[in-house]
Amino acid sequence: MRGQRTEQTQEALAYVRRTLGPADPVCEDADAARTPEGRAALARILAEPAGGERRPRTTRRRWIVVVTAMVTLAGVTAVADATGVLPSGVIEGLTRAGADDFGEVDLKKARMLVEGPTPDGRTMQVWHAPNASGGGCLHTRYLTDDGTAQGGDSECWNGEGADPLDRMRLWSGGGGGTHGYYTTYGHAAKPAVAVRITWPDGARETVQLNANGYFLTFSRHSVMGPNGEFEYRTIDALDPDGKTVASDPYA
Amino acid sequence: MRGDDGEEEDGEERFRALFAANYEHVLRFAARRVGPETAGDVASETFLVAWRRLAQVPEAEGEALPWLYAVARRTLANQQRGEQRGERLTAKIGSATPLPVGPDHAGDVVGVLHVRQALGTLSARDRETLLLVGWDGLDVAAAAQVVGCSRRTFAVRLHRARRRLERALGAARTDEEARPGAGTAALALKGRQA
Repeated sequence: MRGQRTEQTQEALAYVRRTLGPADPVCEDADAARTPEGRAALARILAEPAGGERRPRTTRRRWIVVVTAMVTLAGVTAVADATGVLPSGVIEGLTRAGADDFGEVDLKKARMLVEGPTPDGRTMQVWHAPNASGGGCLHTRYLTDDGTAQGGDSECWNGEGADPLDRMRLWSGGGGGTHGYYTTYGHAAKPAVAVRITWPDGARETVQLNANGYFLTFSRHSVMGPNGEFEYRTIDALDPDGKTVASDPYA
Repeated sequence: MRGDDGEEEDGEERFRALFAANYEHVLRFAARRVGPETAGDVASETFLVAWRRLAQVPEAEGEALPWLYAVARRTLANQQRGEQRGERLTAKIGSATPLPVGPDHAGDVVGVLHVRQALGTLSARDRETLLLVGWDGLDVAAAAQVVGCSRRTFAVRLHRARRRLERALGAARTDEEARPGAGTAALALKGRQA
């Protein structure tokens, strides 16, 4: 009986190959790996950090400590602290996550990476400061027209085994903290001029980088699959010709 | 004992060999499903995943390619999710992709058209089952690995898909014969191919 089934399967394989083979739309190209396109693809891949079992270094989720809290900090947007320039809400946001694990945050090097209007009329800012481990901390905050600042997410990561942000060809962060919109921000190195986000539902959107290579966008799409499971987005960095120069399939 | 640098060099050497041996296959796998214009991106993403998960890529001969196909399949699924996949594939395989036929094979041209037309009427699962065998050249074990099912399950899928292909081919030929001027159209296509 089993032998008969095997024979039938072999016959089916032969039939399908015989029938479909001539209709194959793709011709043989045995030297594809040696073409300029193939060699360029190999070079791009090898330029990325090898992974093993690790997460790719273009993201930081492996090492991060995240604090998610919407803390209203009324009227403190311009309060100076010891650094003389940092709003106190930013100081709290940058230091509240991971300082015990990853060392002191260097607030003297804190800077705002990108800001932009949110769909609900506020302004979102993304701040960054390096920490003693060689990693860093990110903090998002929201400003309203009346000067109220609302602290958003904070996350810190260990620098061990990770490239500094300014050496990454592409990195991104984000979350669902903006009333029905999913926030995505990050940076892509030159020659990228835009990023293309591919959502789990297949939708794609292209976002232009600002002059410093940063992007910030708000989307109606979700990172949750139909069964409630988390699904990765893919973010591609695109050069002026629309070619992918860096990719993060685990964004 | 080898240090990290030695292990990294070994990894890169292994990956280069993996790339050289399989890139063309993955490229064709993608081109058959999304066309040549985006096949390069799919192949690059597939090998990027392999580079990052090199420890997971099977080292046994003949097992790496199905693993890569499975990654490419997921990459394609992510790209195509939300699109009208059936219509898309029908459009692709019915498009102006050059047919691998010469000027003296009018019968082959018509046969190719029938096959592509028939494939376009099948379900996505049937098409995938058939293409893995008919175009990608996989056997039951390798194809089962690509789609993530048991060999027995894939064999059953293959038998059913084969029967539905036969029925669809019969319908395609019947439609062609019933259409006025069908022979003229086939010859005109043959002339353009030449």
